[in-house]
Amino acid sequence: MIELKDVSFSYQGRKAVENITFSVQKGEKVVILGINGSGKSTILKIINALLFPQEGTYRYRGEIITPKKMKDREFVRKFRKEVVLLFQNPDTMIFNPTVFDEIAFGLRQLGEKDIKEKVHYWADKLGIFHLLDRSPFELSGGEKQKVCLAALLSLEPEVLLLDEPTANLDPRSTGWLIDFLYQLDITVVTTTHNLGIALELGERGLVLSENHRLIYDGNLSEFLKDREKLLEANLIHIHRHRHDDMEHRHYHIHDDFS
Amino acid sequence: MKDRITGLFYILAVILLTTIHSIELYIGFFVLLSVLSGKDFIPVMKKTFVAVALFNGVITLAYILIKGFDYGYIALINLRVIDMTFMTFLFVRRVNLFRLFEFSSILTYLLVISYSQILLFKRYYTEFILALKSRSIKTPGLAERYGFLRSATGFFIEKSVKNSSEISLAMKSRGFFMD
Repeated sequence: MIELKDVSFSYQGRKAVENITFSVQKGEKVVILGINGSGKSTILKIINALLFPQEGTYRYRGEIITPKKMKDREFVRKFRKEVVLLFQNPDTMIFNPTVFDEIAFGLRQLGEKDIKEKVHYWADKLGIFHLLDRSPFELSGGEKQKVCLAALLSLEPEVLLLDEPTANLDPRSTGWLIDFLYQLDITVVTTTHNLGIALELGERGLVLSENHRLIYDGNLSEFLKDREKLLEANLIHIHRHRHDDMEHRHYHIHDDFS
Repeated sequence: MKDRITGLFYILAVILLTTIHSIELYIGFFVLLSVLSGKDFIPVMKKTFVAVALFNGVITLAYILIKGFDYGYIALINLRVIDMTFMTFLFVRRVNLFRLFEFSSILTYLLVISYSQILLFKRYYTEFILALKSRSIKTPGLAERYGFLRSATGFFIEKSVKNSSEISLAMKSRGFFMD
């Protein structure tokens, strides 16, 4: 469904991803792991055709995605409905006066008829029904994220891309999101630097190194046992621990809750 | 030293440009700036055009509507703004501002803070544009564009106010100033 082959991308000469190759099958739940600045968000933006590979190719359902292809209105209409991206900062995605309008935005663009029913359905499913008449700007970070997620899911996409979806969430909302994503029957690609929740978001992991290369593609549980790879990805570190009057050093993982 | 001398010339040129009233001198000065810009001419001119188009357009139109078409005055105003904007963009491109203000730690701090905010906002702005593009199944209509602009503007205003107070508290905390 999604195929990236030898993809590289730089921002004004600054490397973001280098020579990345992987593919994602329909229905897979994939987690892209890497430290900040390793290129995770860039990969999602390439998959969402917001950025285009400067080297290599990106195919979606066999079609090579290029700037020219994204000028084909019919294709763009289909692509933007099928492949959706939840940005890390939900503020950047919100621009409608009410939560209802925010969720209805894409449906209106598609010219759907049963907009009200669909908005109500997704608002109810995400537990934001009571917020429908509120302005999305006055909501909390977690609520905004739910509104954006409802807006994207109301399009009934085939691929859901999530950029650090738990970065701004409290533990309870993180738990809710993990459960919610688990029951979704679509392709999901999630980025995170949080090893603690990576396993909850998918079985397959794509791990990026500090030098923006893909260093692991496979089972996440196996990856977490591989100290060499964890070190290469800079996802574990060593420092002194103090327990009462005892002190020792060992490698360990830090996640957002520890 | 070179940056400071250039800075001095820049300030003198700004003063000069606000005092002269000759279209020929403005044209001559623009030619001089164009030569000095060399291979940077096209990018600097593009930036200048984007920066002044709306402002000059509104001012020119308002002047024509109120006072009628006065070629001399309209040309003078437009040339003055274009000269000063072009010169400023060229100056920023050629001069290392951090080196220019290194004689004053306060000015350097202020520059660093402003620069970091500009970079941050630039990144946010790119994200806003990409998010709109990502969510748009077809080209957004006027109402949708208006809504987008309104929310982006609101976000930046709120962010500016919030960041300013945070930065101010952080500076106070680090002993930059006392009140």
